[in-house]
Amino acid sequence: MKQTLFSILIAAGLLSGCTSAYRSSQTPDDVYYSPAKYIVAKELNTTKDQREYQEYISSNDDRYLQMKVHNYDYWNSLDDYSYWNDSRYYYNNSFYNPYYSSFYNPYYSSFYNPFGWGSYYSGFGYNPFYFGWNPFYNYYGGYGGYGGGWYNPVFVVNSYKDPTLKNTGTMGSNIFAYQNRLYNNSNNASYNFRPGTIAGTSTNNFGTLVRRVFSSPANNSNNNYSNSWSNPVRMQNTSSSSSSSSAGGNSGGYSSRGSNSSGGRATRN
Amino acid sequence: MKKYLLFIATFSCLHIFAQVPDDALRTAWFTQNGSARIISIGGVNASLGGDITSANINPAGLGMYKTNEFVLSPGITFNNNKLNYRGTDTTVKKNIFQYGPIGFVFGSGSTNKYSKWTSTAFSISVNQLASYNNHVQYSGYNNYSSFSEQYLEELVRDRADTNAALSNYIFGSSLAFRTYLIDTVLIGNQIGYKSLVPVSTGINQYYDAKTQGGYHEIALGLAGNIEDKLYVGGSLVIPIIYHKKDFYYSEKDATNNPNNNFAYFNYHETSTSSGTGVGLKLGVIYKPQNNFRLGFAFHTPQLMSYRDQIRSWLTTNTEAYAGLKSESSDNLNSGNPGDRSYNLITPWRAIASASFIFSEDANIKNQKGFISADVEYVNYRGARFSAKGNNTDQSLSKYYTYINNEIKDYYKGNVNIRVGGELKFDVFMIRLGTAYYGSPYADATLKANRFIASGGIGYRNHGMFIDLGYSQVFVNDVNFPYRLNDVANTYAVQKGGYGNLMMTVGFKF
Repeated sequence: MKQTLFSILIAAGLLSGCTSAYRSSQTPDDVYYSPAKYIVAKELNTTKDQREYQEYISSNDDRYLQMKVHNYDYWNSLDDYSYWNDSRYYYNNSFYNPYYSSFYNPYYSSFYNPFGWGSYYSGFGYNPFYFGWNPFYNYYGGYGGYGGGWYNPVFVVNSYKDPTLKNTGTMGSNIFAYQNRLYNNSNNASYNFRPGTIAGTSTNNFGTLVRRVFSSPANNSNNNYSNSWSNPVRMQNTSSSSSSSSAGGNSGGYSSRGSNSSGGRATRN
Repeated sequence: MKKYLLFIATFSCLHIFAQVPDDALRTAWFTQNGSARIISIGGVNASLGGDITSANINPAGLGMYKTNEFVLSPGITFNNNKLNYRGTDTTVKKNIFQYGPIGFVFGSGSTNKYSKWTSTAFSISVNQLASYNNHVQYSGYNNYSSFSEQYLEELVRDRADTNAALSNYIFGSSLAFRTYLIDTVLIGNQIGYKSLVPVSTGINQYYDAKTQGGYHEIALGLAGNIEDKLYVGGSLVIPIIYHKKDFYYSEKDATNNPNNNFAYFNYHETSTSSGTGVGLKLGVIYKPQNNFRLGFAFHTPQLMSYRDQIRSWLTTNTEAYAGLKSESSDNLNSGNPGDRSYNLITPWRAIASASFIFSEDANIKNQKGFISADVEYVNYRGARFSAKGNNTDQSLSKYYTYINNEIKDYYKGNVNIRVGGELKFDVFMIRLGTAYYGSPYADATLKANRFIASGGIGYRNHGMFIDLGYSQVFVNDVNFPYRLNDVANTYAVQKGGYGNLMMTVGFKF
């Protein structure tokens, strides 16, 4: 036991080095809330509104491309990298940069954004790398290497052959004893009377096969030694079939190996 | 005598029964073991999820994970058995090492934009579902029946002649016959067997069973999460069972009469039972709204293969009748133990559950606690034994039919209820729980149940967590020293119980 505990403590010490990802931040409790660790093309841990917003952004892209096809000269200017990085427009003011305004760029304005929260991100569209939105940079940090791809567990179901009953070895008296639901858990002051009776009563699982009796009547107290005791006896009903040497043998349960070396029963003294 | 020797010399392989329905109950009637957190809340987890124990209760709960963790759960069990046998009280204690779930959970968000799975999780763990380390002991005066009568019933019921009585029951009746604990008798024209035990004048009986081992379960769990609303999961479980029993039983003449042909007998038996198999645990958790969870789990019957071994010894002192005699199964079996191999299908069970979470917020400062309840149904009467492999011994098959029929008659299905909750204060948690396990016995006379009161504390910070849980299990049960067919049975009433102290250390990574 000491070795086991020692091993556990050693393992715990070694594994404590694996937890650096959560050392400086809140440790998640998966019963309540489990934060995702991966960034993916689709945000995984978003609300319904957030997902719809993302679809909205995507659809804007599509619509922009369509408009560009119809009027290339007009819309193509928006694709000019130098245009977007022109220091003249760093004011982020709708007056100097009309494309940021709701009038010129309806798709990025809060006015046309039915979800109402995208404007929080600097007034221009949506920054997927912003804190709280991107699980790569969320406050839990951490980036594991588990990408799915498990093998499906395979198992084989054993089938069992139905037993065929042809002969008997034992009658399973120890099993049928479970059917006996009469109980005696107290001792009478002197003799706990148990009359010798003929089998076949409701308490007997042997039917008419067995007769049980005491070997001699018991009619006196514990302190009277001479010929006062009686012994439990089970008798075979002579009307039934004769006894057998193969009874109980070759009949299952525990098996023994080898042969008997002790001969018959020891003689009485 | 020559006839005996000839017969004995010719037999080289025989079989003796000892298997009983009780053996099946070991794999079914036990209180839920788990991490310290789960122990603290009464074993409830079928809708809560988010704990490695979910792999053993409702694997859908693994779907709550989007993080990884490693868990260790060492523990100690304090057995305190109080038994009353025919008016005599006995108390025996035994403390032993045990463990809860040990293993990994790997949770991750989906990397597929178009996947309907928000996240998936995989776990591999081992958990000790039940501990068999125990010591049951009792004694008492009895002037009604004797342990030796089961041998009389067996031989007479089988219509065994003296050859069979000598040699065909070498782990029980043959030892009794050879040591003159039982002998033949002729009354009138009827033959039979008698016991030398003078029951009518009273005997002092002593029962002592020390058991070791446990029911261990390796679980490979897989779960998926659909939009944080629906969680489905399954575990492929590999049960590994080891049970060792060291059993002493004795009866002594209560009168000390040196002339009544009986002074005492001592029976000693050692047995081991090793089994392994396979099973499935399937489950689902649904969130109809935030903070509310419903769960359902189904544990399929587990298909198990067993091998048992047994040795037994008997010493009898019948005073002037035959004196002091000893015999052992080793002596009758060339020093070999008795072997038996068989299959067992364990009972199925189903669990329905509900939980309410006080804020499923990402910020742990807003997580205030939860309350959860499980209702479990176990079909105890569904256990089935069968012969192993291509064993064509019809009598063996018939014996298993006897057992299976008796299991259906003796046991019943019943309900277990578990309720627990947690209050969370930032990084600290306190927990309370309770549970009630109903009787597996069909006979209402046999009072049996288990009641649990539990509690614990937890701390979760700096990427790790430490939980400490304690559950006190109050046991009501019965223990039969032997069973007879045609006289009333006697049994010990078992009270007391056991305490489970569990510590779980986990690391998030």
